[in-house]
Amino acid sequence: MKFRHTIEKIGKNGARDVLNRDYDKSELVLGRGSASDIIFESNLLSLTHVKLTQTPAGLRVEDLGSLSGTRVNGSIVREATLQAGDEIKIGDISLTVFHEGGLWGVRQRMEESEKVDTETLIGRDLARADVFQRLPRIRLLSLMGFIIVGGWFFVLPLMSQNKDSWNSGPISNNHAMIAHDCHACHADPFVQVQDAQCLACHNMSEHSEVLEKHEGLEGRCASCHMEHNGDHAMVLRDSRMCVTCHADIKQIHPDSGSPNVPSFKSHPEFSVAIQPVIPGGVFTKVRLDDAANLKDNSNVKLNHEIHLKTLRGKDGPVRLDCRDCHNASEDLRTIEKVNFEKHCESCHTLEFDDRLPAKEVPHGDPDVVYKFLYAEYAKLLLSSNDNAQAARTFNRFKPGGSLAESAAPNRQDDFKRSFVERESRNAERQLFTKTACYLCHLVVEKDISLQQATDAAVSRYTVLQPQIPDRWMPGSTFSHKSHEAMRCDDCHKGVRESTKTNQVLLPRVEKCLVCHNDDGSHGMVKSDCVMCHSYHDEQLVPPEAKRLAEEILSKK
Amino acid sequence: MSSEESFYNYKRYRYLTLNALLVLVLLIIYIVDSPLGGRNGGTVVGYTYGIIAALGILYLMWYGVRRRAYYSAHTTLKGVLSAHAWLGIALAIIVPLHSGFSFGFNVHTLAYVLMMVVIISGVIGAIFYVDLAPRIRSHRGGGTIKKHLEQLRILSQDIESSVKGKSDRLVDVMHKLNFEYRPSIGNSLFGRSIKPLDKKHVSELLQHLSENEYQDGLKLVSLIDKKLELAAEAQEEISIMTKLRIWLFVHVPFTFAMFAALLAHIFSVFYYW
Repeated sequence: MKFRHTIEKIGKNGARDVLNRDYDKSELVLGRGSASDIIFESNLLSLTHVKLTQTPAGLRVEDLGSLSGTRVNGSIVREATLQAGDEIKIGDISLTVFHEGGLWGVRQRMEESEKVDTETLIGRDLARADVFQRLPRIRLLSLMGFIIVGGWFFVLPLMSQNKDSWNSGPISNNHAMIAHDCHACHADPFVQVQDAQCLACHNMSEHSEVLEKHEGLEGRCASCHMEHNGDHAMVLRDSRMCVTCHADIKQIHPDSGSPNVPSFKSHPEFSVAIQPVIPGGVFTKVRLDDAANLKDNSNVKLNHEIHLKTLRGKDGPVRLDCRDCHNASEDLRTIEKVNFEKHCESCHTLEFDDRLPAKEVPHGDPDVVYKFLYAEYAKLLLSSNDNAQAARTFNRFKPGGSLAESAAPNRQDDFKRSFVERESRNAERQLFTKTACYLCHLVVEKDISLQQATDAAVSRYTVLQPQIPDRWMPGSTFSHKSHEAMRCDDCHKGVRESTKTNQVLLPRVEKCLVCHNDDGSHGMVKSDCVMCHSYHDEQLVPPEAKRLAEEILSKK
Repeated sequence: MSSEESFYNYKRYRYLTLNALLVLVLLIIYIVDSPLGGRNGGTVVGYTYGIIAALGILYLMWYGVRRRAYYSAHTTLKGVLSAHAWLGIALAIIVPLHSGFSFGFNVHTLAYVLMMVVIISGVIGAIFYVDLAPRIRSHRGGGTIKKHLEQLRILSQDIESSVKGKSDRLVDVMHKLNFEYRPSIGNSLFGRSIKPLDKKHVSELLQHLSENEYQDGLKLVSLIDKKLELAAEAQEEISIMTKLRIWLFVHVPFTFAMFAALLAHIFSVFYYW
């Protein structure tokens, strides 16, 4: 009875090589040792591992007490009877039972593995241990890193994608609507932002007085107005901008007439704009310590001392406060000009004749006043029932009047005219030289004859045009709002004792230095030049230059 | 740690001293300087520091070229490495001074972040080097990984052939004690260390052998013991070699990524001046 061991070698290229070994035995012992019939070179087998016996019922398999055991179709067995197609596994060797033409046998499939020498194996081990061979090449990674970052942050922004990644810092809120349009400000590549880009939206007058003075000074708008720093640097508040030149301005610009100002601490005494004595003339700049020239030529008479004491009002005693006459403007920056109707009229009536109670002349041009008086006396005359009665009542010889003129033809009419004129002139003289107008205004009598005045029906008096200043320091941006909590006479000293209108009651620089200093040290208010001085006056955009929001946004 | 001169203390910390002085001078100028509009990369000091930092980066990148040229008439590689390392660390301070410590989500800060990754990976590499390099030399026999792997292969074959034709019990002892060693970077860094044989366990196994096989058993155990020892050494060697090299996979690619960001940074600030 024969037994066949078929070895089926399958080459790497798929070629099959079948080798049959026939044994003239009905029993075969398989194992690693030399006592076995079929010897396998595997340390996973026992010396004698398993015995195969041909029986009529099939191929009997019997484990010979092997250490690693025998598996049939996957399960460990001690002994079993197999049929063709069953699989025996011992150690790492698989055998398939076959029965062909009465011949029992086992087929061993051996897939040819590549023959590798130790040198190659060690080479593989080394490769497994070498991080340079296990990971992608560093050159490749470097190239990838360069391309990814360069592509994303260099090439894409150049192609107008991912442009925000080039933004060097937050755009100020003022420019939020053009924040994503780099070219709105950066018109030309590799050229610093030019003033033209700023002026495309901001209408800065070329004739701005301060700008003109600084003409030729190096610097662009962007030198002081720094974008990409959020909101805090849009206006550069740094005194060094000014002090660099102004500390030694007499040397640098002898013609400027400005004093050297190295710091706020050494700020010269304030100067104020003094009105010309004759309205329409040139304002002069006078320092607050120049007592000889410091005179308020406002052409009105006001005694602060009297006004701030308890006064006799229409309805009893009145005590005035500064703000009763000096109202802050709506933005609290300036003080509104004193206004007769608003501030004076409640006490100062413009009545002119007891016979005409509650009649007041208008506050205005003397000619208008005279015409008003004339009209009022004419009405008074006409409204009288009895002209004779009226004549009796009024036809008194008064100083300044002339009875001789009444002796003209049409005596009745002449009498009436002369009556009205006389009364009007009397009242006028009273108002302009003694009472209402005279109390507050500087009045000058005109050098004209009575006849001329009568013919033209004009006033014989001229009121010098009041010129009450609302900005003593027109170059300053001082705001009353920031100083709202303080008492008025804390800064405007001497108001309660002031009897003369021409006294200028403004605070000196030393008053400011009580709270303000250059660097904010010692709990003081840090005060740079532009806190009070403006470098240039912003001009409003002229109507023809105004645009729609969409036009501004689409500006290129 | 060995007292011999390494790159970090080259010529009595010459480059540490030089770079510390540079940083100190730049720091003093930075503090004293008070430019209009605040400190930033666009002031005179900002531009100057930017130029210093950019030139520094070019010098640092040049090291990649220099280290391949083993012979130089003027400098030693160790000296160049010393300058490379200390200047790199100095840049971590100089660059924020250049920007006036202003950071944001943009390519400018990206360049700084990438540079910091490069610097930190370099510092880690330097620490690995200072810590581990002496340990390579101190290995017994001075074996390289290759030698270890060769010996392991030979030992494995010896162990297999030592039980050829021997009893199943002896083969069983081999199966229980032997192991297949496959070198692995992951295991060397994060895996468990290879432990020597447990003597008690070994003697228990050997008890079952017949008297004439006992000697074979002892021989087998000594072979396996030797194999374990070699494997542990190889494992450590691989771990050390990996640590000495793996930081380069961050250091070098990030250098080039940073260089791209640096080019974009310089280009963009002048393109949109």
